[in-house]
Amino acid sequence: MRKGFLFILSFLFMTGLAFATDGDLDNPFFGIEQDNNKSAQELVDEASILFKDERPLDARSKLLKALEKDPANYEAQMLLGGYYLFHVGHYRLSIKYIKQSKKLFEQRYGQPPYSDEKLKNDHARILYLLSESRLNLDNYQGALDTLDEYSKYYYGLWYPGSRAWVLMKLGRLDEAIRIARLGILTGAEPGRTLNILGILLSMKGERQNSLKVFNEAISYELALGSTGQPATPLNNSGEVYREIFLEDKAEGSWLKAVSMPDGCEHVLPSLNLVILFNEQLRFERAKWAMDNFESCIVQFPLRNGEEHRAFVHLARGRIALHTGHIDKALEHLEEAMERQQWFGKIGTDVEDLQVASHISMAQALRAKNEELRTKLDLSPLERVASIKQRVYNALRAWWLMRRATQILTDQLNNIEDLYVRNTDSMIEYFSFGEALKSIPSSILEQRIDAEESSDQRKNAKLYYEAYLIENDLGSKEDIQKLDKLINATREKADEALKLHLLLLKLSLLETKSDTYRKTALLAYELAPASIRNKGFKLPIILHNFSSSEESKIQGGNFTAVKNSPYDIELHRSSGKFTLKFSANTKGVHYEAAGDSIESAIDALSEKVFTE
Amino acid sequence: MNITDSSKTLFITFTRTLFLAVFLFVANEISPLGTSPLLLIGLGALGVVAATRLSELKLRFAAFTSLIAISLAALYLAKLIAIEIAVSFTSNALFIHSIFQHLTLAVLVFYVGFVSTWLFWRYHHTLTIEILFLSSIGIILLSGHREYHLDSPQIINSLAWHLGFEPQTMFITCGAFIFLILLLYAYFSSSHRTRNLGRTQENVARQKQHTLTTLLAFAAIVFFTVITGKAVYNSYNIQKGLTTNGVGEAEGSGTSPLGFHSALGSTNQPAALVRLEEDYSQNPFTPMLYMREAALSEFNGHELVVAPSNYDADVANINPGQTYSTAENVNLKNRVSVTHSVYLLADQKKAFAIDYPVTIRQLKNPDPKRFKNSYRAYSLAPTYKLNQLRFSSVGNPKWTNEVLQHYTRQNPDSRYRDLALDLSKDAAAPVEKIMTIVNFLNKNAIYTLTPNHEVDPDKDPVEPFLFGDMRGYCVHFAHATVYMLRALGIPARIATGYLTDLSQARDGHILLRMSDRHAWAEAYLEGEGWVPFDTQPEQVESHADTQVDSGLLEELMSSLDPGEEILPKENLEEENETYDVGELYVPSYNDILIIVLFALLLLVAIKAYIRYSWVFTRSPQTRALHSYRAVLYRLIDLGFGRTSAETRAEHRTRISSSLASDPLELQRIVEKLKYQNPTKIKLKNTEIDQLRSDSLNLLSELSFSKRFIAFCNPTSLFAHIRRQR
Repeated sequence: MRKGFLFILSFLFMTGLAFATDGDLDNPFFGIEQDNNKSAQELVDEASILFKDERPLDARSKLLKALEKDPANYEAQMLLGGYYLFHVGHYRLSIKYIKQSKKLFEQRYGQPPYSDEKLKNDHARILYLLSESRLNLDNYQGALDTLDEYSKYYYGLWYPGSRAWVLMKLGRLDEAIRIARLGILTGAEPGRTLNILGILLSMKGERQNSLKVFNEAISYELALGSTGQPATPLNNSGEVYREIFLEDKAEGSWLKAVSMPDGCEHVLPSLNLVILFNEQLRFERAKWAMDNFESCIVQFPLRNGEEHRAFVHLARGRIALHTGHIDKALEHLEEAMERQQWFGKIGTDVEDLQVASHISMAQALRAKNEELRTKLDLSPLERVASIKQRVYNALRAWWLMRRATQILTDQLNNIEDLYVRNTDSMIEYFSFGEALKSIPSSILEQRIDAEESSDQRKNAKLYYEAYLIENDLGSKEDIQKLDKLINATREKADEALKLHLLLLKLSLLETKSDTYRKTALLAYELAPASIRNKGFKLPIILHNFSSSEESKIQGGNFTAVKNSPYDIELHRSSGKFTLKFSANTKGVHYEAAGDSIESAIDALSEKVFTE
Repeated sequence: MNITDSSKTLFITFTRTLFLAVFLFVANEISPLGTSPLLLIGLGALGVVAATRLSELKLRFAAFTSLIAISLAALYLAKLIAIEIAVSFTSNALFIHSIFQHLTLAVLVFYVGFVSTWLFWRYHHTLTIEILFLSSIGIILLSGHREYHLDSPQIINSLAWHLGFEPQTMFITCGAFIFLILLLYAYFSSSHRTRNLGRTQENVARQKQHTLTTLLAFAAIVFFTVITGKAVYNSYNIQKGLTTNGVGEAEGSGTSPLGFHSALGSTNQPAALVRLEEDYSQNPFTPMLYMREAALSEFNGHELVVAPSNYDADVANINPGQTYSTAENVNLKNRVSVTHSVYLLADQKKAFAIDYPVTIRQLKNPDPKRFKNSYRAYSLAPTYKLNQLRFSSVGNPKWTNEVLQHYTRQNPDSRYRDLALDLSKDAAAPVEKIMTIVNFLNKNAIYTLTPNHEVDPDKDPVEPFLFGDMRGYCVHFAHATVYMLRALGIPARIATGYLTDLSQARDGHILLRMSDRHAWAEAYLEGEGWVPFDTQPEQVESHADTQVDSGLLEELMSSLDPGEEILPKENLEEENETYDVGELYVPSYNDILIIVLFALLLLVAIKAYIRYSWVFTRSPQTRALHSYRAVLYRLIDLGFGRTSAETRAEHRTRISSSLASDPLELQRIVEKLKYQNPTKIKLKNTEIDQLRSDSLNLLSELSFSKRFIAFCNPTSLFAHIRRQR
């Protein structure tokens, strides 16, 4: 009897199984459509597991199905809110779900406090998600209100860090520092909280303290081993070092950051390295930093999209500009300006990138104009096209500089980036004076006075003075002022500033003067491309040139002098012109040939003024 | 219709302001102006109006330029003073610099409107220059098309998409619209100039001739638009289909959807929204995703074409509205099921899906206005790792000889074989051989959308590419790869469809554009099925834009996400920057019709009020005025309005002679009221009513149809307004 019963049972079971299997085969959407037979809560539970398995799309589909079945399921709303917040970055939709979840939760269970552990956890999670969503939507006060509500009933390890961050965004630095310190004392997510505290202290001007805190954060993250994320505090400490003009230490921090497993995919240390190397005119190293980053990010195909593209193009464009590859620079900078940057993660405003790319693009356009102006081998038609191009470039450069200044004054708190080496900014400070030129002198003077009164960094003053001189450049007295500044620049660390000052000085000098010769040679040694980019002439000794050929070469980027380490020798053979450029001390040697003297000069310029 | 001088002035002022507004709007799209466009448009309009007024003063050129110079100097001085004051009295004077930056642009726009308008009124030739300038802008805009797609400014594309226009329709509409606007502008602007010449018989005749010419030109444009439109449609629909990147849509066996001459026409026009319902993290081509639509495996001696239905059974080859089902191909290794939904944004002849679709079913279209069709596909997608395929065998042992021969039929040109053998001489395994060929093309060929080879229908179209300048696009690369693979005995074919970059997807939603259409080579690997071996040329001469319109993607996602519809909008209150992209309002045809009807009704209502406002008056004086107005405006409606430089008395005389009676008897009373002390004039309502009714009786002798049309004609209201002034 009992056996018979078991047999019938097993028969029924097998038949059911067979039908089920059969159903699976017949229904190719089995995976999705079998969800029809599940309750909303079952689907929610499955979705939770799928999230843990890193299968967010599967989870999303289940949650949407759950909501179809039971729109009042607060858990599904909550999980979807979290999904759109963290996985998709669709904050507007995320907050809709989270608020709905909160409303449904409170309708069902009343107002807090709750005694049930699950309810407590869910409510706390909803509040956490709500505060994060609001933070991402820049509703800082809303985020703070939510955190206040959260703190009435709960405490989580993430709380101090988040609250400190929100308070920082609201400009309540002292309060934020207090909260972060309390958080560290209670052991709340030490790595993250220490990092936030370091940023807060740096913003407060307590840079030494901030460095100490960052070091603690680095040690903590390193101690976590493979799960640690030391690149972020390393990057931040590098930024503070650069801010206090300890460039070697900054370089060390960033190099260490990019060597970390979580750092090579992090664009900021690489970008910071490029800015630093450009400031020191170490363009080879700058290029290496970008190459290194790009070769690393290739490992993360899904992140190889838009997230960092604008930064990479900006960095590459600048390197190309400073090394004389103007067309390449224009291409990169155009991309940097066009690409929409995703800033959710790295806390840099879109305006910072806009200002930086606008200024660099304007500089590149002006450099292009100088290149076109000094091109000799042009047909009449090409000359007309070149003039048209130059007019367009000049207008665009003017417009971009104007827009950059406008963004700086209107959207970036009265040029908050004037604070030299502001960590949020991506400006190249050595040539920032070009953007400030359009501001009336008296206003700029007043603004810089205000900045200097609060900025005690000795090295920063050099930059401020340079901006003031550049703003009102023109008199002979400015030459002495510039000389004074040039002498005050530090070797290696301020090389780009020194070069910029030399170029400003050149603009005040007669091309035939001896001071011009010395200054131009100095500038050329620092960065060969700078001479052509700014439309100056390189002093050279000419050999074997007729007077007409001499006047032609002087129409380009060269000026004939009697004393220069550089000389150019002209060879003519069977209708071909060959120019040999050499430096008597440095072993530099370039050779260019052409069917006409003009084409030979153009070809030589391309070699002499690029790196 | 009697369009008066004042209406023309109004029209010209309005059109000039409109041109300025459009110009500023486009400029702001290209490069944000930083200053409110509305403020700029307002100031530009002010400049236009001010110059129109000023033109009546008949200022000389010297006086005009002095006026501008003085005003500019005054502004500059004001700036200097303001800066000095700000620096002296505030601690942060930067704000004044910021204000002046905005003001400078605003003043610049004001002067553009002002100077150009003054020149327009002052010098006849200005109109010619303006028309030339505007025409050149129109031509530049239209000449930027790619196979009748207008990509720039992007708003045209977006608008076409929102309105559900095909790109070529939008192209023709834009062209016709630009030229019609220019024509109307030229007509009104030039005819307006007769206003100062008096209404002589000669001028009236000239104006009639002018109107006739314009109407003929108008008709010619409409005629040519229709004819050109037809030609464009035919060329587009019959010859090219949805061709972009040289990849069109397959029609049936023996045909090829691929073009060899040019791949222009590759645009960002949205084609479909694909939504992954399941995670597909094992995609071997990450971040790229191939979606197959058709396969070309039959070599017809000239090129590869769609094979008869007994081949390429893995391709669904159905219309998007059909259902498809096949047995799961159990012989394939390394496969995972991936369910995905496709929402078509453009007409598509064939359904496409990821790799091997097992089932395709219709989905309820979530928004028929937006999506042309929708279906859900269940595919067996590959999970193999490309480097693990290195030693795989090619072909399928179950294939008959006939099938194998089909997939390995070679191009008779022996150079393909020679080159393939030469390239693969050091490779042992078949996949290595494939890779040497792919790598060769990657390194040596140049990707360009415009190879512009001479394509002779009787000759091999790939030959000028591979044995010529090696410049081509996906169609050339895929053909060359397949020919060389087949020369080595490797079963190969071309697949067409879409290739998209998953890194631009959001929440599993992928926005496919026309520029994602692609053709690629595939080889059959034992146990794995058809595997894409696509080329990625190192040298790229020209390529389509790769940026996905993230705003549009988000908007489309919103239309699919139930959360957007179900969840209350109040949830977004209190939040900053929670702009609702889904709420972008684009009027539908019905909306436009309703707006136009409403505007017409409003105008007719105003006219009705003017005709019958005397009913609401009590005092005889007011009644007289309103009655006079009612009669006068009825005359204007009927085309008996006062012309320019005509006095009221002359008007009355003219009307009286035309109608052989005097309907403006009331004018006598009104003039008395106007020029004498109204309190001393004794009037009775009955007397006024009698006069009005007599006048109207005279007019009622005219035919009913003429009176009815006159009443319904809303434009005569503008003449009323002018009379009011």
